[in-house]
Amino acid sequence: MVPATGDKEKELVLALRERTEEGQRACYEQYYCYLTAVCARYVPSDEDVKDLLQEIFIKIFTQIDRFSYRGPGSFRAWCHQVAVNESLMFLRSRKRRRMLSIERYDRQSDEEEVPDDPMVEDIPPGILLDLIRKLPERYRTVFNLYIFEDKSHREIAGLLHIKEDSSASNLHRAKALLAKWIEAYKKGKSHGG
Amino acid sequence: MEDKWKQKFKEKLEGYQSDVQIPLFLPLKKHHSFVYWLMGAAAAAIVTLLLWLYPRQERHPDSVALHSIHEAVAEVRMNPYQFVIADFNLPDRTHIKIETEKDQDRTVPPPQVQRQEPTTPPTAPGQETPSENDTHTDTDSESIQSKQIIPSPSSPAGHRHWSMKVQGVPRLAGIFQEQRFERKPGAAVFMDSLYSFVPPVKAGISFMFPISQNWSVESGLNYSHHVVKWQARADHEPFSESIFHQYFLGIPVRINYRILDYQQLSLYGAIGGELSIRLAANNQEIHYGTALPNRKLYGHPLLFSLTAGAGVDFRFTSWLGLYAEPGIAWYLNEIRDIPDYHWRRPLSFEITVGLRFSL
Repeated sequence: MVPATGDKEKELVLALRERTEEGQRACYEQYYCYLTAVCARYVPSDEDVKDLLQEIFIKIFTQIDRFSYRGPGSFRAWCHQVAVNESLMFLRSRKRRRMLSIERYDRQSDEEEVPDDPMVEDIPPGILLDLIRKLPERYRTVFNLYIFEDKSHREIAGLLHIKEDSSASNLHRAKALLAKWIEAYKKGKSHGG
Repeated sequence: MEDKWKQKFKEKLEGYQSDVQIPLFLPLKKHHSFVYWLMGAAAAAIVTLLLWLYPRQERHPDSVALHSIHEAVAEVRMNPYQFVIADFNLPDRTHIKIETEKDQDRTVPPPQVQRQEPTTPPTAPGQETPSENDTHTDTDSESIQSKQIIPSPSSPAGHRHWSMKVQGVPRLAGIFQEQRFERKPGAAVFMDSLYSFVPPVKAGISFMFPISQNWSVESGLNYSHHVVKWQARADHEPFSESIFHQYFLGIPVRINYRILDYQQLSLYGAIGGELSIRLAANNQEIHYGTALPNRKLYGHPLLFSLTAGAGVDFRFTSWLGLYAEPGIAWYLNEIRDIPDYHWRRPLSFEITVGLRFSL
């Protein structure tokens, strides 16, 4: 279902403020798929994404009074921000596994050049999302915050409690991996016909 | 030149919606954390224990159910030779001075209750024993000096009743800050983070029950609020802030010893401990001026502390007093998931002030 726009969005916000079940159901059905895609960029496990979405919608429904409508798209942007924030908090609170695979990626990614143009025109969005989800958590988070949330490395460093240099290098490594996988996907597709 | 990675990935994925089956919508329902049940059970247990321990005043078989001193006086006037015990809550050693028309103006110190023994003829078998009200005295000039209201046998003179305290621990210490460097001073961009630890405030209610002349035990419930602020700064300008709030419910258990009594003042010492459980916690984040919804934090960690103090109690009336108790609290463990004041101050100085009601 496509998220509401314009006047419908405003009506939805008013319904949510009145805490009606119909308003909450409408919001849930309109934004579920969109917020799933947002969370899926950060959290690779589908089960975790489902759990996160429950928390996100509870947060949206219970704290709707904190939102002030500023025109078409503002509610969608606010929901997006809530989803990103909850995803980051989820990643932060989870126990970290030993990322032995990171070391292998680190050595290889540092040596490869990153193309200026990712050449993703022929890649379906679902495939691109899957490639992003394959990235190691550290690279994936920095990549998402830089590319989709327009955060600077300074901001990312503050959010993730890492150094600014680390943010830049993680982004470079994420791009290098994605470039390699995109190329591999295209080759596999061309061989397959 | 705009980053092509940003441009192209955004074009592909910014409005993308996952092709998933939407689960059934379930309306939000209020659910009560087990912590609230725990609170209710603890409060019920404390009240039940105190009611069970509360000394019941046994009614004397001859007592009259009177509701005021005036009724007691009237009863004595009507039946001057009747032994009257008023069963309403008077402080210990209360005595009533009752003067008849024939009284001289003399005040007698509170004697033991004098009871006029009636002179009754021996009863023959089968005859009823005359009641006390039929007793005749041969002196009209007899006056009633003062009658002492006998305290209940279960609360001998001088023994304290149990009491209730309403108290608070104000914020006395200042906020202290801790700075952590992300990059060494002198680098191109100076980055650091700043923690501000705010001393907690506490309020509560407790019940104190005497177990002997000088010793008493105390327990109750305390509510406290902990706040820690965190700032990430670049060149001393904050760009990201977090404020952590924690709300605790504590169950203190203490033993008090009354050291000294002087007129309306009492000096006492106390030692004990407190078990606190975190009821709720949340994190408010601000990124470049944009406030995000508060993030609820999960988990109900426990805090254990030992307390000791010495206090002064000033009694305004027999049932109301004001007390102040400086003391120390030593926290034996710490909260791990978010910053907390007691990370850096496991031993803290507190002053508890409050009102004491003798019940």
